[in-house]
Amino acid sequence: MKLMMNSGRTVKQGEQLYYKESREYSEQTSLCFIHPFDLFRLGIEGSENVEIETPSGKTVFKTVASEDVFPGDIFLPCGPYTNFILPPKTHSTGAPDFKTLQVEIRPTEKEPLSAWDLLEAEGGARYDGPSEGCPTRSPDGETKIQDVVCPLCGCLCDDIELTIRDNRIVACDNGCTLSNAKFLATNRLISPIKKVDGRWERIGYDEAIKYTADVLRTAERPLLFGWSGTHGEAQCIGVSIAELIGGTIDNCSSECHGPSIMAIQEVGHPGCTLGQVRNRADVIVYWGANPIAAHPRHMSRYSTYPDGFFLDNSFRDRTVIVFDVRKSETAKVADEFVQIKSGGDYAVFSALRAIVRGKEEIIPETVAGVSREELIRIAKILLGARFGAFFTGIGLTQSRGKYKNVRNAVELVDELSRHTKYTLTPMRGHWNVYGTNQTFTYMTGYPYAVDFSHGVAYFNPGETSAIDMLSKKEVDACVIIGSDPGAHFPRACNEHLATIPTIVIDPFPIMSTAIATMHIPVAETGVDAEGTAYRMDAIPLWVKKVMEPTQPDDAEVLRRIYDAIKEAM
Amino acid sequence: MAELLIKNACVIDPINRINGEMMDIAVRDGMIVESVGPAAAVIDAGGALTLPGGIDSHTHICGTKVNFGRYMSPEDMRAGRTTRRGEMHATSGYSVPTCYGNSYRYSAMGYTTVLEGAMAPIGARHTHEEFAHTPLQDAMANVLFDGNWGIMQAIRDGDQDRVAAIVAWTLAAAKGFAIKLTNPGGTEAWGWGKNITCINDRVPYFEVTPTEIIRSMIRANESLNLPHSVHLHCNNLGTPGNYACTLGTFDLVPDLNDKRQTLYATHVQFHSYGGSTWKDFCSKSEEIARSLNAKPQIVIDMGQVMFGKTTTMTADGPMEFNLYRLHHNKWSNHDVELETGSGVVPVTYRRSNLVNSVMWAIGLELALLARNPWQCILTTDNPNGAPFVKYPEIIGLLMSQKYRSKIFATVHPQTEHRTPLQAIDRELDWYEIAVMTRAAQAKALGIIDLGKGHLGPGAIADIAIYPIQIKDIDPSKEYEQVIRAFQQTNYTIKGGNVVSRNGYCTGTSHNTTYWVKPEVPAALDLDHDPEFEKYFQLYTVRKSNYIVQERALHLNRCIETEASL
Repeated sequence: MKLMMNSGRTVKQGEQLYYKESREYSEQTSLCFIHPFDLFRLGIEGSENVEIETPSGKTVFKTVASEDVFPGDIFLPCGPYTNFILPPKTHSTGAPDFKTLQVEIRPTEKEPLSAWDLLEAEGGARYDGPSEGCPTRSPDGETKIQDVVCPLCGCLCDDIELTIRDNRIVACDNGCTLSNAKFLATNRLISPIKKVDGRWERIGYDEAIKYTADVLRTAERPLLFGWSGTHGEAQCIGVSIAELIGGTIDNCSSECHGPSIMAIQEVGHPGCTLGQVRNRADVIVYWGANPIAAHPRHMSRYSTYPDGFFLDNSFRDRTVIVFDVRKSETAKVADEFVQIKSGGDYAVFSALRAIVRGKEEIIPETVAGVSREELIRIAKILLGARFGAFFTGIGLTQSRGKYKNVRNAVELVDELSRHTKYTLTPMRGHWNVYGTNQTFTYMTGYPYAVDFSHGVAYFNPGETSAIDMLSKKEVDACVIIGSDPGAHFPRACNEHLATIPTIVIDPFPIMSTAIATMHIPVAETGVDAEGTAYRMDAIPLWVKKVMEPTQPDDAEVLRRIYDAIKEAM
Repeated sequence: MAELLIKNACVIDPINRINGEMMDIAVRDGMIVESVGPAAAVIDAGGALTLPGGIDSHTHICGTKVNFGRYMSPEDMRAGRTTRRGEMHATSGYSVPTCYGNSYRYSAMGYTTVLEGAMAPIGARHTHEEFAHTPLQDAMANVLFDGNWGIMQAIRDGDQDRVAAIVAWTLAAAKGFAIKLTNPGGTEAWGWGKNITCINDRVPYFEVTPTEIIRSMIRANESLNLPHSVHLHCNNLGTPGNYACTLGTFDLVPDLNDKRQTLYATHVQFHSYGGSTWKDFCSKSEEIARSLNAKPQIVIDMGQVMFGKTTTMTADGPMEFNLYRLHHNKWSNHDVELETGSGVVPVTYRRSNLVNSVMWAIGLELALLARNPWQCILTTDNPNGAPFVKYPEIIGLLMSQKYRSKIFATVHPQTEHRTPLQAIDRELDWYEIAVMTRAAQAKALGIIDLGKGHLGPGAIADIAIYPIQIKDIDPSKEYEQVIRAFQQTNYTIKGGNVVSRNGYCTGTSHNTTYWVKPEVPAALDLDHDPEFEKYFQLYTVRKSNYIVQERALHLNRCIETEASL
């Protein structure tokens, strides 16, 4: 049976981001949410195994009946299972079809594999040794640290209180469930490891740094990818390495909000800091975004629930509208939920723009599953705002239309701004993904996908973006830092990474470790390393070090690599 | 002990009243001294024009909105690319170059000090990070206070001490240098999609007027004994007839400081417009210059427009939206909670466009009609009027009526009916140009005592040697040689190190960030003020995380002042 696949964040998947070696991570990312009607058509009741296939591959998922999903659609948590079947085609945008992808689904007797099994099928070798413990050092006794900045999502909540004892964080207050999971994670990698004949061996930092420098210096088309999970200082050194070796440096934007940036480069970005929304907004729109799963405190800190200076009763006086293809957790708590047929966002933006321009009469009976009457009613709510705020998610950037969807969103905000006050903010995912755009831009002129192979900085998403370069097998050496393509890149990319020298720099063993030739562990920014990060609204914050490290941080490892390359040149 | 001797320099150093004297300059450990020993390294200037390092007292080169200008315009990045070369990093960008691009290009033109014109305190950390990557200039930043809720509330409550206290705390927290007001009150109104039209409109909810904000901030500035004065971007930028608003603003300014001006009015070209619509748009430079000439307490910078593509960027959010509605290119906006706003819109100034032609003329007229060059500083409000690489052409225009006429012949034919430019025959001399590009800036910013802007013993050895023999040249006729000379120094020396040689930038310069820390009486110290703690809960960041720690800065120099409160 053919269905339309959308993949995205779930709360349970997010909680396991720093426990990817666990069985729970495999279980949570191999689910398939499907409407009971479609289950019935498949001849399945409840939770059973299905094989999902695309031209790029097939694997087994476990079904979960869900009336939140439109009949004809399925929803998959993002992670290694979804990406195992994801074609690497990006339509020259850098971002593959994580959403609005047609798949074939059938019942099967087979069981889902584990995440490590999938990575091994992509050419990797699992790293699932016992936990090596936590390399951090705390003062004697118990310490409480306040106003800690959370290094998890683009909200960069800065009110976390941590309790530290016995060389580890033992309690995390004020944080969301994702924040808790990250701060309490202790299964760090202790020493660098190198893959020798398909098995992992421990090595020292000196050897690891020399190997990395040699690989990068001699490579013809090196790629430095990731960066969203580290601080600005490390990112800047990364840019200097790319410049020095004539390599390409790209960050996670290229597969998430890169299309938003392409739209902004076409039409601009009417935005604001989140405090403007909190203190003023009476209409809040989440479009293709599910903050309850991906940015759990966004609504309570910035948009919906907090007291607003200019609002008498913030909760009552605000109207929250969610546009999505499925009834997400956020949609369930919204005042208005507009369910759009998968791939129909562009048309709905256009319809709203037409209504705001006073052209109601040209709207057909329904637009992407939304009735004319509903569109007119919603447009009236939008126009009635004193201050309206759009938050746009990767539901727009990773589905059909990609950057054109976001362009249309900006143009709707532009249209509304002629009547009242409106702003738009992309819901940036990683805690410092917007920081990568900031540092890359002030260093190179471009926010991501920067290729130095011609000596000058050259930017062309679709050509110089990581997924495109890897799937075309251009890359002959890769450094992965502050990101996990092993879990989040299409299979074809990982298969290529497994054939070239790939060095992972990360505090934790991650899925990418499997397809790497070496993994260099580092101190974790926000725990035992510090530096600058940029919130989703461009507010820069200093991410603190709350314990002493016993490992070098990203900046130090990169600086040593830079020096070693320069010395050998 | 590093010693350097620059021989045979033709020096113009207005602060020390030196005008074209042939002399030697001795440098030891980065400072200018009376003499050095025989082992000193020698640079033979060969009679070339030698000036103190250039200072830009109003430019946009680092921070959130500047970076947004880059981020949203890959076309501008492509328009100015250089490869990595020796110690020089690759650069991108024409009107909004990358940090290295700005730094190398300024350095090649002899500039050693820059002031970022607009920094929102909540985003200060970003500006400082870019300063750290601007290796060949010392830097400082204006801090935006135009829509500061705490200050507007204090003004409404008539609590002038609290105004000063908030300014003092915020400057030190943001590691900023001076008070900036951009369209005072207007950026807060823009939080509701509204604007302020002139100095007596009331700000929504806060019920104060720009007049009250400007007056109160001038008092606070002087009571904190800050090096620079209030730095003002007037209300109503860029609209026909706005000159009346500018004149009204100038009339508000008392003369309170005997070392420098009491108000620095920036990019005044954009505020000197007559007419009631774009149809009868005309120059009011004569009225503005007349007011300026009668008020020694005011210093302005030009905000010269030059033809071609550029990017506009300002904290003036509502102005940018209006500009976007004229140009229909692309529009970015970034309102900042409790503080200010901002916008970025790329534009092209065209000779064929009458309004653009009149704007071009007005900037030049202001510089030519201001009697005292110390009161009119050469800027383009980089990159709003034009990228700073156009400064040498502006120098050429100011020094040569022939050159002005040549360009005038290419602009919109109606321009002569709307502007007095063609009737002005003044040609500025080398000394006046030296005043308008470094000495006046040092005086206006209050940094002469820190050793900036001059070449006397005790000064920081920031020196620019230009490949031109001023005795052999008639700038009125040979303006092309003047322009070429100012485009690229033979030597740019910063802190005693050669940082640029014939346009090739080398090494680093111990680039330093200057910031101020006013000491206020304990009762006005907001660090432990419960009311201020409560006020801070309106922000989405904690007070402790808002403060830029000193250790997060690059090399820096703190200027401590003692408040008279």
